[in-house]
Amino acid sequence: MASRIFTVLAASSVVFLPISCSRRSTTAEVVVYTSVDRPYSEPVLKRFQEGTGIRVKAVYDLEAAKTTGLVNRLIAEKEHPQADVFWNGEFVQTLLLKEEGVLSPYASPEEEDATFRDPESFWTGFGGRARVFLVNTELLAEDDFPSSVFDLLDPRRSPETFGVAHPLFGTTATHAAALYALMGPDEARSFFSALRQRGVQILEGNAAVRDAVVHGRIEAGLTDTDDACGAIRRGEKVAAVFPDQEDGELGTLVIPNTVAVIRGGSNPEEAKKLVDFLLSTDTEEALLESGWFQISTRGLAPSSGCVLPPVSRTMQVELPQVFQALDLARRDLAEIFVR
Amino acid sequence: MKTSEKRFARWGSLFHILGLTAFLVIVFLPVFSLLAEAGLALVSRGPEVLSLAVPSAERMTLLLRSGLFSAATAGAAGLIAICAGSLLWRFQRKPLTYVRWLLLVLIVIPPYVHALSWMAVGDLLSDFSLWRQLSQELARGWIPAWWVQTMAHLPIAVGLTLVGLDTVDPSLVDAARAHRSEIQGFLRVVLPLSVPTLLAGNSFVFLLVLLDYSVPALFQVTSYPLAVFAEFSATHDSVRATAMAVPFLVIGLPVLVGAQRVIRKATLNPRRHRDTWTSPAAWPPWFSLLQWLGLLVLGLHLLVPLGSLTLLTGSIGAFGASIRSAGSEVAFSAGLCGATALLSLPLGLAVARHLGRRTRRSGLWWALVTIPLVIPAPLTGIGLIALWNRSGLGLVYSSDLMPLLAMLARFAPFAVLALYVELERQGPGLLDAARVFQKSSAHGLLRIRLPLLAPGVFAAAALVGGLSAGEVGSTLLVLPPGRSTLALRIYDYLHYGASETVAGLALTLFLLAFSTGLLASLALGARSRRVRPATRGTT
Repeated sequence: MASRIFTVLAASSVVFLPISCSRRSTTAEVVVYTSVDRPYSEPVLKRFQEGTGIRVKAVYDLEAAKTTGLVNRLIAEKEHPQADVFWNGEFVQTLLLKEEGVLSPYASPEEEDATFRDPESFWTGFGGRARVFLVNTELLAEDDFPSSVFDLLDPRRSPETFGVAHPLFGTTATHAAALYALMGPDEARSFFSALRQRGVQILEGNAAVRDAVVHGRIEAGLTDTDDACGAIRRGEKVAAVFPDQEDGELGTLVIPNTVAVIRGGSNPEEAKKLVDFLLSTDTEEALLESGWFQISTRGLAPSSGCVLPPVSRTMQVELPQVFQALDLARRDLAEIFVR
Repeated sequence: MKTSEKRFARWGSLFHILGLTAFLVIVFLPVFSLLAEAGLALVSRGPEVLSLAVPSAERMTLLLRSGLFSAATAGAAGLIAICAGSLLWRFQRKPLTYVRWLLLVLIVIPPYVHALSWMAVGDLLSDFSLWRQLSQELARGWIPAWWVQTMAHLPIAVGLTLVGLDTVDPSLVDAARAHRSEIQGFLRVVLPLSVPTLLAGNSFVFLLVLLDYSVPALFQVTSYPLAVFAEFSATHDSVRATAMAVPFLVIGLPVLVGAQRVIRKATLNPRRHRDTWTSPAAWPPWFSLLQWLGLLVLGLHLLVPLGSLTLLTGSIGAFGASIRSAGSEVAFSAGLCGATALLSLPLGLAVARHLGRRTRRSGLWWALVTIPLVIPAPLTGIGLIALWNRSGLGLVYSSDLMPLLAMLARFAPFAVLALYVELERQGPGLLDAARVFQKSSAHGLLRIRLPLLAPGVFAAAALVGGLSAGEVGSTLLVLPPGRSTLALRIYDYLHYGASETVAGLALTLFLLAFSTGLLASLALGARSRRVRPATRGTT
């Protein structure tokens, strides 16, 4: 028996090793790293492949890696890049990659419509998600819906009935940095310290916030529109409220997707074609339809089973300002929340 | 010595050296490249990096809490494993003996899926007003995190407990039973003889829990690995993250060194070659109760994920759709985990022999085996990139070999330890007899040594294969573009919120593990049919 085991072992090893060295394809291909959730990004990439005949090889990021897995990989691979394109679900990591010298400039013809773009064309923003309160409508009457991020500190509300994702990671970190940029470090630090001291629930991620609201573990939580829409489309008893929409309030943070060409990638022409495709009106429509986008940079209306109220007031902060505030915000937040 | 014998010995030495070299290159070199980079950074960046290796008062508190949490989890899993294992130990005849080996492969279910299953139970309870408050209280904090981690790692603890109990010489059990009560014999003879394997199991659980931040974070518990990950994600600087991971070495190494000393000092108990339980056990009622409670908890480990996954999947159609949607990932994961399990064996066998030698050099091998165990997964991935993403190595770096190397780098040391325990338990009597009567060295190897090793080989392969199936931390960093594993796909959908898809995929993973376990059990059964008649009654 044991001799058989070891024969199988040796044979499998010998067979597996040569076949595992995948051969390089002779057909045109493009390698894209994306932090956009796979159920949203995969259909778009398939459409590109079908439309152009260019084979798309994708690597998807994970929520568990807190949107940093692929960024770390891109930085580590900088000298010998494997990727041609980076399609990011937010923007700060893209700005970081520009700073790290990972990106290559490319001015796409589609970029003229873009609201957000790098002055040196290292990246282009498109579409957008927004930060939103997801509310359990069975636990909270409409009059009691939170309407501002400062409601998280309202002494009349029980802090344990609110939840936010860990502010060190993902779009919650971006939101925190935006607050630092807008409010100033001292005020922002006080805000997050109070949040921690009050005992607002700090959940593992935006999806965990969504699930906690859906299952009634908390009454309301701050998350992204795509998470909120996922719950609404499934018919859960929840509602979405954009925070800080009144005059004099901070406004809602809109987080565009960003796309960039990787410096030194093996397929530069195919990369440009993919960037053009991602920035096209068709792609924006498709992503609005799927629920990934709720904000259109071209004024397109969201369709699908999740139509949120329009964002009347967006946070007035430039993307580079948010990026610059991120480092200080993260250091502060690590002291406040990682203890 | 005959020429053929000499040739066999030469080939044996060659394979041994190849195994050692492969272990060094695959497992230790990525870690070494990280440590070397950290060392160079220490020279150039000095105190800034060094200060990260020495935790501040706050981080020290966090580290101690994480250490205690891991110890509590390992302790609980160990206790439950002894209770349930001592009951399952009695099932030494087919078909019940097959069931025991299925346990080990259940580790394939990632802790994250256990957490979600238990959260689903909490949500179900919250529908009843009587339980709502309790379920909300138990939705966060150390206690639910501890429970879920204990449940997630229970198969490792129980599996290795059974390996330990199975290696106790039946004649010693008979002697203890003849002179003492059943429970006294168990506590004073059987358990002490099983300590090495039990400690090995507990050490595995301790380290796996110590390095995991995802499950504690799900229950809003901040752990030291989260601090390391936060530093890494904020700075994207592997040197700073490596420096911050140094305390893991400080905590993890003494655990392994302590376990190692117990293992090395332990009496070499020959493997059993006949059934231990020729007459029914007469446990005292309190111990029987504990045994059945242990088995109940083990049953919950199986039933809660299975039940909640089946309910969430909804229908056979939805389950079929999940499999169809992930067909390529299922095939790729099965191949990858199978290859990792298989390749970890020659590496493990080569190194395990050195761990057992009473030389100074064996201390070095212990260090080479244990240091990779306490390196966080993303850092292993970064180390692999630094090592393999170079000019001239593009064909390797962009191939399926990279996730294979990542899994081997992370889990081959577990195979080394499992096989080391197995080698230490080999009875010298049979080996001496083999040397005298074997027709050739090859004959002795194939007919005596390897059959004796078979349970350890299966245990090591199941352990490595199971752990590999749930691996995402380093795989994500080195996976070739266009490829994905089943675990990665599950994580993709976890965020999306498509619970029926996640459940269907996790159920697929579960059934794959179950099938693997069944095959392994049948293989072991076949082996025992061949070996037992010739060795029955021997000690």
